[in-house]
Formats: sequence, C-alpha cells, structure tokens
Amino acid sequence: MMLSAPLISANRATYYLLLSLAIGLALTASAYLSKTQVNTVELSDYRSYQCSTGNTQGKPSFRVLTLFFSYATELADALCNNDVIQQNFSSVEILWRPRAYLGAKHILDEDFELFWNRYHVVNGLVPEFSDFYTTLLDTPTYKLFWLSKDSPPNINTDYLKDKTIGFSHDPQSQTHYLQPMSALRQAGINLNAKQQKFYTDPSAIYNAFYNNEVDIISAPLSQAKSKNGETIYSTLIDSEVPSGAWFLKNELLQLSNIEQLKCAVINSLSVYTPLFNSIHSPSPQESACI
Amino acid sequence: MHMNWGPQRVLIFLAILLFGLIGLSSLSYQLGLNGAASSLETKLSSSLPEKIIGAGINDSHHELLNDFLVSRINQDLAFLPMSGHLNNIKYCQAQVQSLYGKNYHPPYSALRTININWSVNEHPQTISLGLNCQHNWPSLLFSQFILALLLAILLISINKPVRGSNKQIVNILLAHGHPRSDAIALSTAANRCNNAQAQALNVVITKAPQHTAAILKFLDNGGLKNSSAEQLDWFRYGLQKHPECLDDAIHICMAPATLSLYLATGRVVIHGVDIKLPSTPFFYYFWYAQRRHQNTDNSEGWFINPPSNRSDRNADIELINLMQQYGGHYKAINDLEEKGLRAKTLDQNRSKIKDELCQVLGESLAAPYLFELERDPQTARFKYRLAIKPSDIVFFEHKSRSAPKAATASHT
Repeated sequence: MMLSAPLISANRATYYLLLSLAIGLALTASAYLSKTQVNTVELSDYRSYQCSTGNTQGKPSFRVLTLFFSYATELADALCNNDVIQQNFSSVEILWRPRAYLGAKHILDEDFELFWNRYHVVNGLVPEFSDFYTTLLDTPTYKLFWLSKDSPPNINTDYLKDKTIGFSHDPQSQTHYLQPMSALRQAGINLNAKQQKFYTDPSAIYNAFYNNEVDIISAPLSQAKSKNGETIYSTLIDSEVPSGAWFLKNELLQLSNIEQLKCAVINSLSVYTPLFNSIHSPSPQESACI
Repeated sequence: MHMNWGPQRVLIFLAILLFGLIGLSSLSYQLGLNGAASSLETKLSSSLPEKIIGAGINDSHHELLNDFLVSRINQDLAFLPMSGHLNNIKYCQAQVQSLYGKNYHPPYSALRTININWSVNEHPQTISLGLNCQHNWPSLLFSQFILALLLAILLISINKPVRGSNKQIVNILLAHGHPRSDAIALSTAANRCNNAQAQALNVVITKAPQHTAAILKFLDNGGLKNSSAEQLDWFRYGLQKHPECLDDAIHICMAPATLSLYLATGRVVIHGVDIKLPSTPFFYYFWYAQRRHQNTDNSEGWFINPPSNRSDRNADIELINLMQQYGGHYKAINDLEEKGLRAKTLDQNRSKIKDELCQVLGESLAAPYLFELERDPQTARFKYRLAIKPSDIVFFEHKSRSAPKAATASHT
C-alpha cells in the first residue's frame, strides 16, 4: 500500500501529542458510535388480570372491578373455569383500583359485569343505581378495633397526648379512615398534625404498627399479630362495620340462564372466604347455590 | 520514494490493528451495555415505581403480589429492541432479580444490573433487574475493525522525530534537492549502519555530500559492511580521485589489495587504481616484482645492490631481455649492455617509481606497494625488495587488462 508523505513530528513532544490525539480520536469515535439506547418501553397495566374461558365464538368479556390484588387472580380463574361463564363469555378480566376509581359513568354505562364496593359509595354516585346494578351478594360485616402495644388503647385526650395514630391516605377507606376518624370525632378528640400519620395502603399501615412507627392503628382483630411476641392490646370500635357487596349488572338479568349464572358467580366468589373468615366471626351466608 | 514498508513497519501495523481491534471492540461492547442499561434505567425510573405502587393498592400483604408483579414485569421486559448509531446491540431483555426484598433468579446471568429506587411512606424501596443483551457481533467487529484500521494507518503515518545526529544528513539531502519525506526516510538508514559503514558515511558527508543519498542507499543494502580500515582509506582516496562518480570510489575501495602489472601496456593497477608508469621505471618495477613473486635464488625477493665499483653482469640480462621484448627505451637497454646493472641505476629507478606512485596515491596508500630495505650482513651493502606479499602480485602479458586470466607462468 503506497501512501504519500507521512506526518513528521518536529520533536518528541509533538510526536507523543500526535499519537495521543490519534488514539483519543479512535476512542472517541468508538464511544460515540457505540451509544445504544432502548426504544420505547411499554409497561402493561399491573392492576389487572385476564384469563380466557376457551370460548372462541366471539363472546364478550366478563369484566370485574375490585379493590385489591388479593384473591383477584383466583376469582378470575374460578370464573374462567366455570361452565356457565364459559358458555356466555370468551374471557374474564378483573381490575383492582382505588375506591375513588368507580364513577357514575361506570355505573350508568354498566361498564362492569360485576363490581364490589360499599353501599354508601354507590349510593352517593348514582342514587338510582338499582336501575343499573343489582346486589348479588353482601360481604360480611366485621369487627373493628383500636390496636396498640404498650397499654390498652383509650380514646381520651390524656392517653393520646403523646401517641401517634396511623391512617390511610384514602379518605374513603372504612377501616383505616372513616371509622377511626368518626370514632375520634364522636369522642370529641382533635388530633394535631404530629399525632396523625397517613399511609398509601393497608400493608404500609400494618408495617408501621409492627415497626413502632405509630402507636395506635384501627384494624380487624386478625391484624393483631406482633413481630417479637409483644402483647397487642385492643379496644372495640364497632362490632358490625359493613364491608360492602358485590353488584351484578342488570343487563345480565335478561339471560336465559341468569340463575345459573348468579350461582356460578357466587360459587366463584368463595375464593374470598379465607379473607372474610379471618376478619369476621363466622356468620355463614349460606346461599341456595351449590 | 514513498514510505518505507519494511517488515518491521508491517509488523507494527498489524500489531496496532490487532490490539486496536481487541481494545476498541471491548470498549464498544462495554459502552454499548452501559448505554443500554442506563437508558432503560431512566425510562423505567419514571414509570415502573408508580405501577408497582398502584398494583399494591389497598392490599394488606404483598407476598403473592410480588410474584404476580415479577411475572408481569418480566413479560413486559422480555423483548426490548435497541437503537444506536451502529446497531451493535439488537435487543435486550431485563428480568427481575429482587423486589421488596425477595430474590428471584432469572434463567440467565445478567450482563448489567439495574436498580430502581423509590420511596413510599418515607421508606426506600428497590427493584433490581438483570439485563442481558444480544450483540450484533458482525456489525460490532466490522465497525471496530474499520476504526482500528484507520487508527493503525494514522499511527503508522506519524513518524518519530528525526534523531539529532540524523538532522545533519537530512539537511544535506534537502540541500541537494531531495523531498523532505525522502530525506527523512533515507536518513533512517544511518541508524542501521555499523561502525565501518558509519565511517564511510561520514567521509561522504564531509568530502562529497552530493553523494549522500547514493551512499545511504548503498549502505542500507549492506554495502561496505565488512570494510577494513585500509579499505576506508582507499574509499577516501577514491572519492578524492573521482568526486563526480561514487561507483568508481566504491570500486577502488572494494578492489583487491593487489599489484597487477601489465607488460604490454606498461601500466600497473594497484588496489583498483590504474597508473601509467614511465617506461624504464616500469621495467625495473616489473623486474623487482618478478623476483619477489618467483622467489628467485630463494632470496625472497631481495636483491643486494651491486657494489659501486662493480656492476652486476648477470641480472642485467634479465632486464635487457624484458626491455627488448616489450619495447623498452633503447637508451636504457644500451646503458645496461654497456655498463651492466649498477647500484645507481637501481636507486634512480626505485626513486622514480616511488615518486610516481606517491604522486598518484599519496605516501601512505603507496607505501605497501613500494620497497623495503635492509642491510645485508655479509656484504654490508643495502638490499631492496618489494614490500608486498608474493601472492598479491599479478602479471599480465596480454594487452587487455580486463582479461580474466593472467598470462603465462607468473601467476600461481
């Protein structure tokens, strides 16, 4: 390979400088050309789960709206495996959302085949909700308690002077906001900012209690477990806090096999039994369905 | 003349190419992964934490949710197309290694780890993801090969600065009209000279700088590698005698250190230098050379000067025959026939020979080809002979001195 006049260095310093420049140039070029980045990253919705019934006849999807993840996939799978559901629907989709998600439009449009919520919420959204949804199944009431660690919780100003109480951020939460706040108001107690701590979800509230970040929380008795075998004291707030109900959309009532469908749904809802058994003294709601 | 592509330079070029390829490829590989990881981390930092928090809303326990989330996140990150200037990485995948303190084990070993941190209720949370990427090796290696090639060309083109001692040579070459690149390339030949060659080079630089380029080329090809000090002296002489032709100077320097005598033409060639001697001194030179070469009378070339009152009547016959046969001067022949061989004649002729040779070659170069003297113990008279070794004397009777073989019985 023939090349024309090579670069000649005037002196040692120039020589090393030129060498360094050449090497630096190569490294820079390599670094620049090697830049890699990811194209867009699409994250799906982690607050939903879907399963297929196996029915390929283009039937609609059975859409369920709940409040939390626990047992949601089990419910969806139970529905997917049910004969009656399989006859009428191609898939089951279950969503779990914050309480405030359910809106009047959802009810009016009958967006969901099935949803769970509290009467007062649904009533507040659409007073004539029974035109659109029917109560399928009431979920059991439960007992709600104040829990504390060092001494039995007393709802009076003296006792609460130097204590913090943990609540939920969500002002619609029965267990962790409405009930305890209401109880405090009724007892004539005004907490200052330092005495209240707010958390995004129940798990965080319970962790805070176990880790002694807060002194007192409101919870069902089943949550009264401690980490190191410390004694947990409890005081009853309310013995029959309504939980809520499952609502079924009225359009389904026109199906020929509606009674079988109702039974199918109720049977599938038995996946939640462990949850309600733990917070509720057994008061069996035996239905006529098998 | 272009760049000197000697074997050493080619090796250096290949070495730079190889190490450049390896080095740049490694750099490209690592930087590519770094870029992929950091861009993914940035994109996920803004979206993943809120999705994770959102999924756990209203939940009292997270254990089962963890597994659910991990499986969904893994699904979402199983195939991530990448883009870059070169497309060295085609696509990557990320899998969860740990979430909320629980460890998971992706089926591959991660090339990079991505940690995303967020804070919930003032508690710090982390999700740790292992990144694995598929490299487009052909594209990566080819692109870095091109870069390495360019680098090698660039580095090899940058010449070391001219060594101080060679600057003089470069200046001389420049002064004689050589282009700068040639001058520098030629000057590097000086670095490869051995002692003898360096001395020869020095002679040219000082005495005949116009031949600097030619001598450098000659030396670089191995010329004058094993030259002796005497040869260098002859080289110096040769340059002086033939300032316009380096080849002649080299020829003289390399010529055998012999004395060749050409009867037909009356010429001698000493160490490659052709010298015409006057007729009579030539014959006396020839006669002494013959005696030396043939070891006449076992004398080893010595001839004792005849006494001043009596001339030699034997040896003169040899000389007379020579002169008669080969056109010697009639006066010299008469002189011998009448008076015989006298010491005076011998002395005169030797002196003439010395003058002639010294005039052409100078005293020190001529000396080995002149006479040595001793005093004969028996006769107390001086004896003389040629200093040169008998085997270094060559006789030619034919006209052409370029004839490869010497004539008759003289040459053994």
